[in-house]
Amino acid sequence: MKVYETTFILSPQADDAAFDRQINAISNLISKHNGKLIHEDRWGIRRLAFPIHKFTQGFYTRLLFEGNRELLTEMDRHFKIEEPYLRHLTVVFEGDIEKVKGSRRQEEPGDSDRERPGRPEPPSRGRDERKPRYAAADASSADDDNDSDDDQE
Amino acid sequence: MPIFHKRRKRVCRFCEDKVKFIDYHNDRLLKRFINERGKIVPRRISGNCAFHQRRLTTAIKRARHLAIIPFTSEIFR
Repeated sequence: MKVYETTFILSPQADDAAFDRQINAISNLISKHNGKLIHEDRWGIRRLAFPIHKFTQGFYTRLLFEGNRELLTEMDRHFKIEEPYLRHLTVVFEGDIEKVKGSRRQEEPGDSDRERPGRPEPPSRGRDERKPRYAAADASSADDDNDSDDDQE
Repeated sequence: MPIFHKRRKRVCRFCEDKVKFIDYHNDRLLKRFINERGKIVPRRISGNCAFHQRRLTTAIKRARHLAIIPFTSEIFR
């Protein structure tokens, strides 16, 4: 059985008991289909990068588990139908299980690459990135003519 | 007389650390590779190798789906 990872966002309009119930609903699905829950990581309420269903915050949870195909189908169905689950993403787990187990999100695990304090991105080589190289009309830059920002690019 | 700029060899920072998997939950790391508009920084600027740039791109796209990083950031004029 493969190891999968699912991350989902719950509607923030709920209390802790409701969150427990919603997350346990998924864990129960896992055990019902002879799967095994390997790791559970609750991130808590977090600000969303963009509104989803008019919410600006959500309760993030991440689960690592072993399962078969039926479990995946069932979980997916559950996520799509039930109301409190705003977003979900299930993937085949790549990465190090032990490493994930050791670090929980609340503790802000360190990045794996070097720290470069205060450096957003390397300066461009002088070419304006927004304009296409060739004269063909580029839909994404059609609105760029009025921009006077992005001096740091 | 043409001047040839000596460019020091840019090594992919993921290759240096021998990273195999780029975690799409890690917004601190991923934010370094999107510009102010939210667009993914091209490889010739970020210095990543092709392998890691592809992985980084899928990680960014997954993170966008989960609203960990934005699809686009409007810059107020």
